[in-house]
Amino acid sequence: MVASFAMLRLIPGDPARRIAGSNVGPAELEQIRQGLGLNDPILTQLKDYVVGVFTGDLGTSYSSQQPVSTIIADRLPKTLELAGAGFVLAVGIGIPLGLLVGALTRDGLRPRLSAAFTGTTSFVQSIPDYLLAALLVLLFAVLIPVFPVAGASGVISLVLPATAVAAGAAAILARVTRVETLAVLSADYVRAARVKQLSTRRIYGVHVLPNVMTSALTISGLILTALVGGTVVVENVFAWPGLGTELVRAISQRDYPVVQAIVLMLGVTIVIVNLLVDVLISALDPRSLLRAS
Amino acid sequence: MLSSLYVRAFFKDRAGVLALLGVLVVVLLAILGPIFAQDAATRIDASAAGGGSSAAHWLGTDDLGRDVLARTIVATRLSLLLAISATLIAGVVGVAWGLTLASVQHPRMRAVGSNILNVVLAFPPIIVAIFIAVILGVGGRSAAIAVGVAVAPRFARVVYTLASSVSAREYVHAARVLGLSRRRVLLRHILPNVADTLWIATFLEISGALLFISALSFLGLGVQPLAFDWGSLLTSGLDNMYTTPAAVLGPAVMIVVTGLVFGFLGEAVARAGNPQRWAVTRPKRLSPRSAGGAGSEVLHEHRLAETSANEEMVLRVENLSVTIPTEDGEFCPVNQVSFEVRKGEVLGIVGESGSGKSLTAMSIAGIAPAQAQVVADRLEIAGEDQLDKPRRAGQVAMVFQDPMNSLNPALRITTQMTESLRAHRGLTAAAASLKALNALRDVHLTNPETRMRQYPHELSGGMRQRVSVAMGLVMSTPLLLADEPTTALDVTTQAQVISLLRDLRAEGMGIVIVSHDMGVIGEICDRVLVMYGGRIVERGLVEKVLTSPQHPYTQTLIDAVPDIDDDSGRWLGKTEATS
Repeated sequence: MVASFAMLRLIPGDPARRIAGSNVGPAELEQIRQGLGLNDPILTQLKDYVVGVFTGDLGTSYSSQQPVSTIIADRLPKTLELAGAGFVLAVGIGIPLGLLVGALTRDGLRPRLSAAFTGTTSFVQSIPDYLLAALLVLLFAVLIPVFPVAGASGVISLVLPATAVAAGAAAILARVTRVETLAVLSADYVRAARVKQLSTRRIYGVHVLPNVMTSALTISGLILTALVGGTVVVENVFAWPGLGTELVRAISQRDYPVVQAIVLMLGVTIVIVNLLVDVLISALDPRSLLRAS
Repeated sequence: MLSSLYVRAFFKDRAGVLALLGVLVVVLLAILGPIFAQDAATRIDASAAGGGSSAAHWLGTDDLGRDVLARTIVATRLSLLLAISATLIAGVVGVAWGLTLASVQHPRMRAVGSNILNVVLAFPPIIVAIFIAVILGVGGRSAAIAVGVAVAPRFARVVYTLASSVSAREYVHAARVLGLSRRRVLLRHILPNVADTLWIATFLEISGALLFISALSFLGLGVQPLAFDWGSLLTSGLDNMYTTPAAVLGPAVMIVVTGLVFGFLGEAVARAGNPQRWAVTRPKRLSPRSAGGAGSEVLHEHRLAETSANEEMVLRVENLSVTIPTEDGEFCPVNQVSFEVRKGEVLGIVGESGSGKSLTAMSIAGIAPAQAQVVADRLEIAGEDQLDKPRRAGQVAMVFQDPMNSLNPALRITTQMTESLRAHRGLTAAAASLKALNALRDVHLTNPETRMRQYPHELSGGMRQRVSVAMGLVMSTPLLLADEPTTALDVTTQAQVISLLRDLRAEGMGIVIVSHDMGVIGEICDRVLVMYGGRIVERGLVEKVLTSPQHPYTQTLIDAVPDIDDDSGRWLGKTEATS
């Protein structure tokens, strides 16, 4: 965690200089240099930036002249909403599906179901999210107009983008959960529970589930960060007013303070997410060292 | 490193061959596409602009009337080239990164480096790629570099993990001792040993890189107009989705299919690399008829000194068979096994792995694998029939081989000790824990009150085995099944567990110990069964069987026990002689 904060602080100073140096005309360049304080020594820039970040001053957008912090405050909730909905969907479908198929295919039972499951999930997993988004729009908004094509207006407009973001993640989660379920089901402690003639509900609920959840949660952290990445791309298909669409707009208009701030925000989000997952896992897993004291 | 065995294993894998064919088709399209379709793909025809699918234009035309199918085919070359370049960049950067990290000697520096790598890996590659693409300026080339750098940490992780494990091996130590330079050790001794895995990672990452570059192009950060790849075709297709929906399908299908075939090829190469697949023939299944060889049909039964029918039987098994349906017919790992255990008697079941001894115990406990069919003429525990389900709880307790795995890591000892009491005897939590506490005292566990509140990982292996035994004691089960109860323990703990089992025998419990360890069997058992190929080949009092074995297989098992007076190497000679 300490290392990731160190890295986050490394991001802003360095790219600002390179962005300005590589693809901007001389007049504009000078303006950017002034605007970003690039004529100062690099350490001063870094210091200014860090101080700025911590005081909530992220600079001003070149194109709209709005403070970047206002833009972020406006856009971030929308991105979190989409990523959150996608995560709930992925976890809500992936983990129960993996558990169910794992229980049904234990000890090599139902080999055909097992093969169908592996085939389907690896296919879904290999469809990139933006492409799935495009296909969903084509199917459910253009050919069969059930859902809105674009924009963010209520829960109904969240369905397609959240599905696009969540599908791949749900497939990965389902696969991992199934493998973990199979491993737990063949563990001696589950056999021991069966020797005790406990009810199926107690065996699955008390003996199997907590052990499967620990590893499912570990991968969920990774998946949530991947979801943030997927959201950035998928937002552009649906004109979802989040950080992703703003990022692409800012890049095409060379609005660098905004680009920089969004990348920073995404980085911070990912670090916070990983931290939360670590805390959650240590709270759930008795073996974790964090809880030993 | 691609040996002929490797190649042969690969071509036996139907999915792998299909994936290879798919990759070849895509590569062929990439080579030939621009030669034959370039004209159709770039010819502007205002009269056909924005047309839907038709006989002339299967996937319709774009804004400028260019044929989308031709453009999709032509785009194969650029899409593939960019993906391969990105993967090569990722490979070179990642291998250098991973090897450098693996060669850092200072442990703390190495930990810091490894942590930095983990943090970088936590970032979604697409965001890293966007970030780098912005710095480098939009365009196909910078998209390839950006994706290459964004994916490089994955290679670095693979290389670092592999190189760390390889460099701990003896031949690398040997090379160091010989005084070879660090760089030479890395390049000559470590890199070749991780090369196979790197190839697999490369194929898998080509498909990843293709998706990321398409995503960048799709966002307008990748390939710029005039040039076009699948990602940018997808963007323009989306713009015209209402008029020509088919235009989205072409590039979409190509991206998915290409990603899949490269991914499948990578997985197939990985499967072929598994030496278990190199065997020319499949391992032969033991068939009950042929399993024991000539001698197995004869059961060598040592006459028991006194057989009293009046003695109370804890376990009676008659003609127990377990069959497992497989692709090539039924497989019968336990075949017509009959035996009984008296009160206060310890029965040993010995045999090599695969002889059916563990499955016999599991069938008695009612935990045979789900697809196994267990049949018997009689299966009684303490006079109660166990064949008709549901079984009554508290008839049998079981101790497993690996104490690290036989208690649930997520539950406190008290939960695991008391749950059957509460579920089946209807005791309150307080009454149940009192009973559990007594059981823990009976197995001589120190500080039972503290242990009850602990989780399994806080207990040693010997303690856990005692808890497993105590879990059976709380229900006062008449029968204890122990599957290799001492195998995973050190010698001192072994002795403690054996003495505990002796105490239980003295209290009248019937015990079945499944083991391949003749030493343990000789130490505690009254009678012993020898199983081979699913059948009992010899049975009798333990002294008789151990001192004058009748079946050649029993002789082999006994010889397998290392003898201090003897050269333990003779075991090998004997097995060869008898098999």
